Amino acid sequence: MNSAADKRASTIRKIIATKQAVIDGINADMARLEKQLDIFNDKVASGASLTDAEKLQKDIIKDSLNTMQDNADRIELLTLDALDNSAAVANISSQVDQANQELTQVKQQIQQLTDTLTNLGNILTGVTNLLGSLTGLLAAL
Amino acid sequence: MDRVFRWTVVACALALLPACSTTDFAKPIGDFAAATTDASTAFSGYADSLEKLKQEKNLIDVADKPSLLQPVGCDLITKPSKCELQIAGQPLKPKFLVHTRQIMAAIVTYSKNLQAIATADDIAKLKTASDAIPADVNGLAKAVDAFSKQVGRSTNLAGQVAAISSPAGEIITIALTKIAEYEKLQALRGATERMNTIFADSMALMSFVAASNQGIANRALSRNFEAAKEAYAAAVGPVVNKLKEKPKPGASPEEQLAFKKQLAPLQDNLRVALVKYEAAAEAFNAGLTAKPEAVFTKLADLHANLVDALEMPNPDFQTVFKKLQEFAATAATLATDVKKIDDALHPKT
Repeated sequence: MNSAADKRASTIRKIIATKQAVIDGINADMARLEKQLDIFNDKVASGASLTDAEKLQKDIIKDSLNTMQDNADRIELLTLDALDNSAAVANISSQVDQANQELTQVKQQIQQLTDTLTNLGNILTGVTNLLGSLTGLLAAL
Repeated sequence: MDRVFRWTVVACALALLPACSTTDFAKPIGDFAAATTDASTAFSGYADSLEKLKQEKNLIDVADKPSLLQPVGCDLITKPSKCELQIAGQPLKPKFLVHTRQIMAAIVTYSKNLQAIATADDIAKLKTASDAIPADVNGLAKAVDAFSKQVGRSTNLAGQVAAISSPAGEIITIALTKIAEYEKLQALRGATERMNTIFADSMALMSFVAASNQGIANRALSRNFEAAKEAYAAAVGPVVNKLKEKPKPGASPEEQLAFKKQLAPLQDNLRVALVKYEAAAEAFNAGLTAKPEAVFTKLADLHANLVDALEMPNPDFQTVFKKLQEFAATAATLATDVKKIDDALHPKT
């Protein structure tokens, strides 16, 4: 792999790893809060009622979970946006475009080869006709 | 005249060369192009979904802080070239992942280019060209013999041409076909080898988009699951409380019947909540076990195998065929997972 390819791959890996570390942290915090919610759910399932303070605490936890989820979603979107506009992506894009240009040229070359081979038949026909005419001419002389 | 026989000799020599036929590499390359189109469809789904989410976030932001929204252009006095609602300098309705989408489109073009080269339908043209040759070679030989006789020389080219054991046209057809196939194979080798590192990086990018979308979906599925769990717990409580009032053995039939009538609707509620709880758990499980990036990692793997196969002197595509089958299986699993997740996130009312 050349250095440009190394750099490109390294940039992509770094962006992905950084984002993942942040998201993993948020997911871990969310899992902790969900466990707290379970305590209230278990209490309700056992037939007991929640006190007003517990209801408020539960609402605060749910609101926090919503905020965390929103933050995590935004981090995903921001990271994707940053990556999409990065030099690494621009580099991949230009190289894929270049490869396609070369392939188009190859397609044209193969077409030319086919045309050349087809022309061979035409040339032979032409030469035959010419020699045929020449032979006829000589015979007439 | 020498040129004709030189060509015939070249044709004979080429006919003896070992080379793969068009069908050998056209099939895996055609299947590879189809696999790329499948991956592209999957990618578009993820990118569109993320674009919608970004727009939703923009709407939420405006609802939280209306001053963020600004119309740009939209004023005839200033002779604007466009009219657009923007939030923090960006369109309210965003065009998301523009460059990554371009790469995916270019990869599709690349695979179609490969296919166009592999399946270039020039064999018919070559046959037409060569079909004209046998008569010409014989005619040419006879004409030269006649000409030679006129000028006092003796040649027997017609006899030499007739002495070629296989029909000349057939040899030349094979030769022309092999030349074209050799050129195609060389072109495919060069193109795929050059693309190999870029291809792996491109697929890493697509995988990242897919995994990010799945991460967002999983958090939504988790929230659905928590809501279903809470609803289930709320349905369990009354049943538990009612069961505490269960009549003791020996209670009157009227008392037992009255209890059953009171318990039944509570248990019906519990069953409904349980069905929803189970569905939410299954959807969350599908989200957690889904590997949307697998389509792209497998496509990169497939491309690497294609490069390896084309590099061989006599390409062997067995590995490529095997990988293509794995790819199809992965794409099918992904489609099932996506449906489960979609049903959970967007339930039909």
